[in-house]
Amino acid sequence: MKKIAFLLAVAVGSSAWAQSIANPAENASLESGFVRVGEIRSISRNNVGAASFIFPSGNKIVTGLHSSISDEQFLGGLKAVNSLYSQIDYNLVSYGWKGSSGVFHTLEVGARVNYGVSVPKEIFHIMKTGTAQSPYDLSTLRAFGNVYGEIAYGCSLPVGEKLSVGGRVKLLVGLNSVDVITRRFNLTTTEEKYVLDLDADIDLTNSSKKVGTDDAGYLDYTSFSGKGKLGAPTGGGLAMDLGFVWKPFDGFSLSASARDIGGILWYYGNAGTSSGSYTFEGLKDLSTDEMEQDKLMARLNAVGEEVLAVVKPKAVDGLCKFKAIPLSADIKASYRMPFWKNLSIDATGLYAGYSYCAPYWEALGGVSLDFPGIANLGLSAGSGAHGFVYSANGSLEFQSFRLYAAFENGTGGVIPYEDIPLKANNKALVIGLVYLIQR
Amino acid sequence: MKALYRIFLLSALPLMWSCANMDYDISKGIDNEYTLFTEQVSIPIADIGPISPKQLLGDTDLGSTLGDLLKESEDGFLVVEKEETFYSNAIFLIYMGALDPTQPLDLNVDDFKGYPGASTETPSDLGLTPALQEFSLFAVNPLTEGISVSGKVTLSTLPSESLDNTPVPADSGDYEFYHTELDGESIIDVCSLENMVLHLPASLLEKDPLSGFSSISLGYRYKAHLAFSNDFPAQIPIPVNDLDLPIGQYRVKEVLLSTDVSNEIPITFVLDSVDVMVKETDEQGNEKTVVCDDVSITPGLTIASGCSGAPVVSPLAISIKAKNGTIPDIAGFQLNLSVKAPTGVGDRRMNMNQSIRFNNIRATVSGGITVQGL
Repeated sequence: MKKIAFLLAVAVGSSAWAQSIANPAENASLESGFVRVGEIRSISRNNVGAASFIFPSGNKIVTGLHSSISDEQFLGGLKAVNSLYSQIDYNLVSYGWKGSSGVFHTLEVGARVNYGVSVPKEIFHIMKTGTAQSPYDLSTLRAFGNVYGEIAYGCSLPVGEKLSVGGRVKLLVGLNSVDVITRRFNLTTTEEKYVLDLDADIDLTNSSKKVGTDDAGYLDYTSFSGKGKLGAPTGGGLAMDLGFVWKPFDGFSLSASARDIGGILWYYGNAGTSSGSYTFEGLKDLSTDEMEQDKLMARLNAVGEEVLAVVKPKAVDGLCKFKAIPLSADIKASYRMPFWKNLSIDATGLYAGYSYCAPYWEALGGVSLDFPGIANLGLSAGSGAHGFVYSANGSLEFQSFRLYAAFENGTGGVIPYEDIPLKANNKALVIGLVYLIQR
Repeated sequence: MKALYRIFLLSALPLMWSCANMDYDISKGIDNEYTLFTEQVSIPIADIGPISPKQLLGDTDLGSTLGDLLKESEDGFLVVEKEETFYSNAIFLIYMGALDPTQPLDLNVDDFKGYPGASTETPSDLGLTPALQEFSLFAVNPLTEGISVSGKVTLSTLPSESLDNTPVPADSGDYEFYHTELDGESIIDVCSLENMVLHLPASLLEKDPLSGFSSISLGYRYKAHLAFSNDFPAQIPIPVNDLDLPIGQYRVKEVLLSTDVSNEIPITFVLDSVDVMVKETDEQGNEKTVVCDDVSITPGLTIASGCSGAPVVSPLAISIKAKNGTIPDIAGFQLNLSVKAPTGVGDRRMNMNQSIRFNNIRATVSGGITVQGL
């Protein structure tokens, strides 16, 4: 029973305080410095869930392409653009100290990984129902992935008694990036012909390793030259966080921040472009001599080669491209109850966007309990871009250590043993530990 | 330090808890059956052709193929040809028989009756009739002086024509001194040559004694270009065996094959019926090929006739539809084709270079294609 009580206390006793990803202005209220090691945040956002792709049917699990699943069942659950976005932030170490002039300084070193994919509904529509609704615009097809490091300096300071402002400047060190962008991807299918019109880029950094090319100049991903240097930078950039905290009267605070405003200038040494148009009108001028399996296969292979000539990326000279990093902004209002100052009511709003992936927003309302020097607990719920969402955050202090965590999730359940959400979902988790430097 | 991480994990686990829906337990796998294109998918397949009779025959000699009944002219037309010499006499013998070799000689030729179109009877059994008939008389004159021919020519029931001193130049190896073409007439079955007279010069051998070893000849030549005028006498069964199309596994309900047939051949083709053949195993375990009653194919398809240089386009759609369930594995087809007379106006002559072309062959599959695994 004591164990359960302890776990419960740990679970609800975490705090969202002093996170590296938080509003930089919040540090202004700290009286002493801190050292933080190993904060981890993971975010997974999908605007369509696994239940839109797999379905229980009798005693089996089938895909949306199974004959027992109607067109409406499958396609009705999909979005126009179906996105999956994941991000992992790792704060290796942070150090914060209070300056003599009341300015609070922070130095932080961390790394980020993000990747995402967007698939237009039309692709599933073609597979499920056929080609009757041509033409199709598939240009929202996209995939990307980035790994980069952050070295951040932040400062926050009070401006008068009611307002604090803060900011961080981040030097971004690009490690690896892959980006597949389809600027134009049109498919027209009629009885007479299929017309593919494609203009897409595949940009790939890979340190000093160079992807080879075949005789025709197409990128050959089975051939590499040069020695890869793990961790060698392939891009550089800057970003900043800005925020403020305003406490106009006792018990009320309003804070807002915009984070990760900026991006990275990547050097894509392995860039390729797929561009062109291909029209397939069947095998043309087929002679009676060719009506043999071998010869027909040769003709079909030739068609395949012609399609590949359009689809396969042709190597282009290495180029630099600026890519924004995921931007987020939040706003929070909190009011401490006059009858019990440990209790507050909160309202928060969040917006996050990344290029072609569906943007995410949410608005939550909740309550929090704060026992200074001991623990903090916050619970909230609301609505987001993907439906109902709830969150819990808290912290637990023990001597000079403060353990904090935050968790956010939607409803709809998950696939057993896989933890894959069945519905469109925003899932975030933060865990961190900070050591408070006592004066 | 480990204890601290345990605390992190323990603190996170309850927060990460989410409701697992056992209806979606995929630990035993996901069914890999996929039914694609449930409404309709259209696939362009090919353009086939041009296919001409000459291409189909390849290097095969047409004469031997058709038992020497028909021939192919230099410009590719199917023809019946006949050539017969009805008079030939050595000049030396003519000279010796002359009463006075120093005087011009009129030599009477026996009346002759020939049957040039008799060989078209068999082609007519194939529904072929003469479209353009050419009849000519030719002469061989090895003399150094010209000769002339007189007489009466009668072709079948047509009015007779008279030849009056029609010249044949000197040293003619094969000189056509009479030529007529008939279009749309009945077969020239009989030709009568009456009162034919050869008008020869005086002193036949004086200028060229060696020509006495040669002969003066007269003959006729007949060429009939053939065309289809009647329906082919019988339905032509065309078995397409050993296909072994494994369609059954794809559980297709309906396939519509469409094409635009461009036809130069002056024949109307009618696909009267198509039977789908499937393999069946009887009680004794013997496998046999039988007609499948569960699949219907649209009959009554017509490819309209055309002519050289002016093809006629016929849209063609063949629907293969399962009456119940889905289309099974197909072992073959039994096509029943009728050849009909050409329709419309135009040159109906048969030419080995005339072609048929299947443009824009496409398949439209309705009701889905089921596959196991992607």
